[in-house]
Amino acid sequence: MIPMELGLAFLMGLGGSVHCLGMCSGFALAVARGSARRPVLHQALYSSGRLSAYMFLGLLAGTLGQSLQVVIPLQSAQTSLAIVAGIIITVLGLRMLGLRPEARWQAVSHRLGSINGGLRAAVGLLSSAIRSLTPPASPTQALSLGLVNGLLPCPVVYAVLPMALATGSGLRGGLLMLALGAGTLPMMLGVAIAGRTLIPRAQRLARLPGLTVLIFGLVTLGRAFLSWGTAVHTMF
Amino acid sequence: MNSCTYCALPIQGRPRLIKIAGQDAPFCCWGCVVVYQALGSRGERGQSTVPLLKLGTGLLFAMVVMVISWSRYLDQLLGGGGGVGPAEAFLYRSYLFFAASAVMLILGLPIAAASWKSLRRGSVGLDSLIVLGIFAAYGRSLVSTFSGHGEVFYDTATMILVLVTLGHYLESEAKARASAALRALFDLTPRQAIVIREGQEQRVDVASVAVGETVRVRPGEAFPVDGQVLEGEGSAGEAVLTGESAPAFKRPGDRVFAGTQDLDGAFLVITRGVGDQTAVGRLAKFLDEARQAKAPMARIADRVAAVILPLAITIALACFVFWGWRVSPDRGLMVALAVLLITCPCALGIATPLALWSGLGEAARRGILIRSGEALETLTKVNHVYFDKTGTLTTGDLTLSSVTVCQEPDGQQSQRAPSGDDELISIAASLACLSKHPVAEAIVRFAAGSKIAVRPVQEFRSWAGLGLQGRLEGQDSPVYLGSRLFMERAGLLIDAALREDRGGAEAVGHGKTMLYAGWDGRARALFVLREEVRPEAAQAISRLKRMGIAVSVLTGDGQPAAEALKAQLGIDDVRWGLMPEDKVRLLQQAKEGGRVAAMVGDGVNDAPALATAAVGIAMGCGTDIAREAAGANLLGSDLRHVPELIALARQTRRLIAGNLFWAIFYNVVAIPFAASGLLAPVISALAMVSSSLFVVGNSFRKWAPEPATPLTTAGNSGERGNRPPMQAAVPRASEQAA
Repeated sequence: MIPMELGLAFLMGLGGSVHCLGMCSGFALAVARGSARRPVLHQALYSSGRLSAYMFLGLLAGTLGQSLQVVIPLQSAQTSLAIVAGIIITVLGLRMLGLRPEARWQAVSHRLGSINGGLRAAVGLLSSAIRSLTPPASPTQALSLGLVNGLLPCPVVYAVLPMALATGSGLRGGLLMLALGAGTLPMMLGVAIAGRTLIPRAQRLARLPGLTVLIFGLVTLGRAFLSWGTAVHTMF
Repeated sequence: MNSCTYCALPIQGRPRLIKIAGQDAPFCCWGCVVVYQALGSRGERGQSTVPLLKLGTGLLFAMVVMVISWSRYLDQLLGGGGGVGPAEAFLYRSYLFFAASAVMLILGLPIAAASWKSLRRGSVGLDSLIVLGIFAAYGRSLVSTFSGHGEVFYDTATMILVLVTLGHYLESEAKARASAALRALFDLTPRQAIVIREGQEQRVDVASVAVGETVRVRPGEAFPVDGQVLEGEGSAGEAVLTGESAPAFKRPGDRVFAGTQDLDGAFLVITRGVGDQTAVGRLAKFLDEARQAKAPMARIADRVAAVILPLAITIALACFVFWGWRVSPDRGLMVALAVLLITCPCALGIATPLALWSGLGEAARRGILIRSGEALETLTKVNHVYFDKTGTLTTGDLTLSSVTVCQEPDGQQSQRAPSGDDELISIAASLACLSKHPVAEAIVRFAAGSKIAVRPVQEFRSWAGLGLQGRLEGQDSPVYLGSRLFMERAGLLIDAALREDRGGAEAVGHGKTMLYAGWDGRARALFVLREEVRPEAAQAISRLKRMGIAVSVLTGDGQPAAEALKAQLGIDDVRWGLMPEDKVRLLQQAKEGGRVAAMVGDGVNDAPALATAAVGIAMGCGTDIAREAAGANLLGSDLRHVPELIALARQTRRLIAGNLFWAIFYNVVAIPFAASGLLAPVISALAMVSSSLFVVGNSFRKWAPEPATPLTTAGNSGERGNRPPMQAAVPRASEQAA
């Protein structure tokens, strides 16, 4: 699984980072603004913070998947988790593209919305943190800002988390998310260097993130069914 | 007195001086130094979240490290996770190094610097040893990371660091919060005032208002200064100072106090005191002093800390050597660290002060000021309460209890007859309203309450110690109002019906005050006044008895008055006919007899007795807090505060004991487990933080609400301020003089 999925996650980060620009470019710019003397160090720490947060989420999701395997046999657990993950990611991709799959799904997406509402309290906390951290004045603050940034709700992150769960290993889940974060690096660093001029150009690619997520979901689903089929095949 | 740069607490003993921006800043403890250096200065609450974010960042990285480590254990445990190849393993190893180093830099360096400074000053604390352990674990892991083999303890090192910092943070925050809460209690004075300077109204800082300046106060505002009303009238809410919930009416010449509320008046006030020189400022200072005095129970904490320190070091060293020799140096390090963490009596430093301040604060909220932790502890042991009578058990105000009017003998009609008692009260009040004597005031109060008008008086004269004399408008001969002696000197005949040994005999027996009014050679009426027992006195005394505390009354009055009080309040032990020095002697005897006596007095003439008792409780001190003699002061004059005060003191003592127990006991119990290697260092650190958390939570928990029993006034005629209806209080002349 490792090279293939890591590569996918990286590509998702690359494609999804167009989405990042809308929300997160402000942070990269703030870091650039706050660090006149040591821009490289601050950007590096900010990025490490953000990647650490992604990895942390992936580690947690992966560990959760790992513990599920204790209850359900390994192979079928991984496969069913992958199918569920694939469905969720596909739906998420469709939604990002502005398509609503079926009316029936609206109930589900409504549910997801209420989860989002629950997150809002946490986000309130995060945003007060952000307010006191922008622009970051010290290396520690740049690092903290990255961490907080990485924990903000983001559909691209949500799309890969189920996959991290499906890896069935904390370490692999963490790696997957790390790969996603690595994929976002070029765009974010580009913004930090080139400034705002990059943003309108990149936003012409508005459909790219949704497409990437959709493709990621379909690939995950296909792979899951493939391995399911193999498993069923070997049973007989 | 210095106060700590971080938590703003007064510093006891030698301050730890740390250079900040080139200047020596004092700190109360190394904990605060650590938190200050790690998390930055304490900003305005709510404005800056940066300190917490630093801790949060450290925590998150430590958690990443932790989860990675757990995942590795899980992979090994389940066997199925072999999917992580050498390349990924290297990636994770490098990442662990990065994340752990970040935590060490953010949280570890400040702690290490503080420990180093404390070491250089020659104080070896467990804190320093724990820091040493943390850095040893980190260093050992570094070696493993770069040599490619051996164990790594990044999770242990970072997690303990976060927990230790968290513990320091909790403790410092709790202390800062407690002292801020105490200060806020009497911080009621507005920051600004409107001063009239050169005919112009100016809004200025209160501190810049000088004594003698005129200040404008508008309805709804708080008075910014102590002063005297120059212009305007209205009511003021002074509950914070006097405990009196009914507003006080202020008119020109009356005193007003900073921090009290102007409810509805537009006032011009001449400043008499500002800041510390106001009544409320003195209260705040008083409370601050109480906070700084070290409670005897704090010495227990000191003694325990003195024993635990060498004990912990010895055991930790032994464990290090034993496990290091039997298993591996790594194992020895971990066990020694666990032992140090579990024995560290970190919560001990805050166990006593937090509980004490919590108790002092709660008492102050209820209008009781306790002078020191020592007074509070003595209060818990009180088993005998002595009450002063006048002004303490009684209101100190006199009340008119009966009027006896003399019938004209032999049917002879006097000029002014027939004189009903309304008429007589009117005559007496007309004279009395020109005097400030308490007895005269009682009569005036009664007349006002019964809507009896006073008349103009001419040729008024006051005879000190005897009475008043004056001529009512339109009359020829003067009216005399005063004692029996005054009547005799004025040549007035006292009729047998008015003699104490008839209608008045009973009255005299109860220690009441007699007053005659007369003219034209004869005394015409006898006024009997008595002291009003406080309506809540019986309730307070019965509660004290229920608490197992003996109650006695010390009074200078005669035996009959004492007997009456006995019957009225159900007190068995009433000592009568005592001079102030007798009271002191009695209290000394009580002390020699092994009793812990509390003396309740009004604080002015009872000062020697208050000082002699194990603890003195002065009443009604709101506006005048300079009661050095008393260990506790009641702002108002509600006697029920006496049992409440003792109950509160006992509660606080239990709180301190509980805190000490949790700060010491369960750590000590866990030492064997840690020493035998059963407790992971991280778990020990968790136990340490939870012990701090417990102490903080315990100290800030809600206090039992004050008993809200309604005041039953059975047997007593009303509270101060409520005039009894005339019909009920004053027997008609015809009934009396038959």
